[in-house]
Amino acid sequence: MKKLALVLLLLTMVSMEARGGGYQLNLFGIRQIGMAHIGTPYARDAANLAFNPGAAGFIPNSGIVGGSSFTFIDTGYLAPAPSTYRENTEFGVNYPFNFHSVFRTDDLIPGNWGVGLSVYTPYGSSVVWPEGWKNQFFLQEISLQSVYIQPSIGYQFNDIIGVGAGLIYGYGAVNLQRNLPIADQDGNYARVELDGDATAIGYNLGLMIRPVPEVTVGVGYRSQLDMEVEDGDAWFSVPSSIEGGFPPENTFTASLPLPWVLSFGLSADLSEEITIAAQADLTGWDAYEELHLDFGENTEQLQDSREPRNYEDSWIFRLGGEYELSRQTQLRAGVFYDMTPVQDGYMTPETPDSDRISFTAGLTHQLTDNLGVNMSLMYLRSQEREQTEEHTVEAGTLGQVPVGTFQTIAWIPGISVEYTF
Amino acid sequence: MAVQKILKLLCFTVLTATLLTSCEPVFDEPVPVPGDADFSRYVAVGNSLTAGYADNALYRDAQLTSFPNLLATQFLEAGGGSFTQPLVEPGVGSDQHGNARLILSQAPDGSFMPVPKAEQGQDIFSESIADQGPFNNLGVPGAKSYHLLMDDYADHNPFYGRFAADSETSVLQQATELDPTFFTLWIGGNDILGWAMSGGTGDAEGGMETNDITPTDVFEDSIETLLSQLTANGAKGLVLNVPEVTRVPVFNIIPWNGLELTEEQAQALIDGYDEALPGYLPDRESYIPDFQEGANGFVIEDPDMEVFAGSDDLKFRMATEEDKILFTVPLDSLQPPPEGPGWGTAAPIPDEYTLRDTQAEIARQTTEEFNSILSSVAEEMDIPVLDVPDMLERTEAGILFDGAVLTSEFVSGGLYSLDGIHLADRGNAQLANEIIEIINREFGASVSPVNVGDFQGVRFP
Repeated sequence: MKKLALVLLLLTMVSMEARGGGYQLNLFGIRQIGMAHIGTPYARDAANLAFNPGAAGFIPNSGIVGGSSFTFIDTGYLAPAPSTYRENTEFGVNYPFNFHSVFRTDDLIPGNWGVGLSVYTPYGSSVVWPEGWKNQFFLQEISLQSVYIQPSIGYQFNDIIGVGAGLIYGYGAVNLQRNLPIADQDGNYARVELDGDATAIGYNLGLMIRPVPEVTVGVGYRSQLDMEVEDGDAWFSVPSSIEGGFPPENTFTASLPLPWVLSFGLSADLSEEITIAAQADLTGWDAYEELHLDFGENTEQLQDSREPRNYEDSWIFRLGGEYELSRQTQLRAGVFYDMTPVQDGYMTPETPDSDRISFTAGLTHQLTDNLGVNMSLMYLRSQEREQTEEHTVEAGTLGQVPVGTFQTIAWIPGISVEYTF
Repeated sequence: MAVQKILKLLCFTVLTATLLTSCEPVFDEPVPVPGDADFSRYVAVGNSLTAGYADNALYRDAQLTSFPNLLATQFLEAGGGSFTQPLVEPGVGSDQHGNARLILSQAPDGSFMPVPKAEQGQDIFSESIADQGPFNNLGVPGAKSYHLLMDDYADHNPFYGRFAADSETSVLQQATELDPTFFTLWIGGNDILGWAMSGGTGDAEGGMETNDITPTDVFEDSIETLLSQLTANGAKGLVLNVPEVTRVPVFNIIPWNGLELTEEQAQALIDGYDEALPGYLPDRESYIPDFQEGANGFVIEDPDMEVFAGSDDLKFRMATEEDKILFTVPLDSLQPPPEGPGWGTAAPIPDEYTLRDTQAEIARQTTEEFNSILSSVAEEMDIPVLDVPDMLERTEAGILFDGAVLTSEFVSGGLYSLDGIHLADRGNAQLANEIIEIINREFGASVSPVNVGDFQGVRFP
């Protein structure tokens, strides 16, 4: 009973997140999500390679695991007092998927090697505001997607220490739509839609140390990938009389950083049944200084734009635990606190970000010796955050960002299937 | 959506019960209150700006976005009552001469011009809609201060006649019969504008005709009567003062120096004048406008000039920076012969189409005088005043709203409609918000502002 009490305590304590600060997604693996998305000091399945390729040698079996999360995210906006205007983002579900595999090569080559391939979505965002909402000239909708394909290799020197590295091929796509404050004869506003994609190369490094069999320490580093969108489509839908000023089929170039992450943590087996873990992640958001839109064709009306973002590096702290109910079934819970990289005066409707707290729960059930199913549920709540006109004046962003209060609440269930051999 | 409902249900039953946290964003929303004001019976008294006249016509869509109607909608959350406007039927509307509203049109060369939306305006005058009243919006296009007190004003102004209860009831009387608890009064613009729009040809010293400036004592008496009667039953309200008419686009669209000449054209004009002037004229050279290559002031008529005795047709000169050319000047008249009479070059622009430097100064001074009367009368009765010239000045610099900027720039700015005098929808929305700000401050109310971005400026073809 004592053990159960501990698990309940973990469940009801704050545990956190599925969606990271900024546009970071904390949805690498369903098993990891269940315990606060801890994966760096933890070596249970192939998904750990995305956190820490140094885990490759520690993962007990070869295996593949794949699944998806389902994001139900609701962001609310309240205009500055005394306005009673409020709005919520449109309902929509996204499916950030993940697939991971790891192969022990013990039989093929001498030494304790593991290789793997991971496909996951570390960054992403999808925000659709109701058509014609108050901040329509800042943003109507945005979809930001990323897919990382990461082959990894890890080597375990001995029972205590292992290292690993991965190569990342990243793909990113963005679609951003805004209304322009120019109306046609029917009163419909003009609109601009930016659509583009890019690829980039990066890497992942990891170290795992198990000084005693009950304790595992891990450090992982994933490099920054700069997504340079070249000649993306910039569609301007404007009244025909002013198409000269807004060429309907323009192009744009922009760069969006997918920042580096340094992650480290510790997990400990308290007993045969109970493991607890803690992890801290530092994300290099400093890299996102501005959104610079460089249009292919400029006119007097259409100049390139520079919108300041000035993100700052930010931390995520995670705490989680796992309880083995039986040989077939493990339960997990976790909590994390994700600090926003967005400073006062730089909050935008595409990332109306504030500090977030998240509680997670999960379970794994072995259907057979080889086949298991993982399930996770993440609840995430951002702090209600108000951006005032004073904030924007101090930041020098008056008129470039909306004022008002934002809050996000998300429910993210997930499921994956795992086959080990 | 079913999934969402299930999740919500799950959330409310499990999460809120056990973890005391929320399932969706919850805000501490402000609750609108009227404060010391009472919006249950709001009456708007004024001229075309109150009526929702725009694009040189009274038409339904513009009436629906009149600032009083926008205010009344916001008042609803704070104890406001119903607000009835004397709406015309949907259509192209009409000005006093039966012309349809203006829309923006693009010429083949890419330039924009306001043109009537239809050949003929809508018939809005032949049938009285008095039985649809009583009306809360008592804005009457064309009304001057003292008109609002005239019992038989319905016989003089068809815009009032179309909805007046009868021919013996003044606008003010209709207002007080509603027993208002709250009012806005915006009057006085036409008391100066009528004169300015006539090119200053009316009586500047004070007169009661359309083209005259209203005598100061008449204006003052009218304001005192209007405000004392509107407040007689304890109603609270707000006064909007008089815009400085020389700043509105209709006086500024055509630049004083809009005459672009090549060196040859300038010389040809000089030669033309030289030839036309009589040889006996003393100081003959001084009558020849100084045409130069590049931008030149238009040649305008100036009846105040001192000229050689008996030569009144020599009362012309080149416009200076302080002179205003009215947008009402027929545009083809500025074309050189044979396309047009060549006003501004070969012949002076007639006086009725210009507001000359001295006249613009009279308009400015009268505005100041009228506004100081409005201020002192309102202050005596403890009625707050919205300073319209201040708002227009801020708009010239640009007012930020919801990620865009409102400016006074004609066509593109969003403040003015296509007639260059009256407000566009977006201008009315900004004005409503400025009024709400004062109401909230002065009466301790908390009325929610409108979203200015919901309202358009001039619409483009």
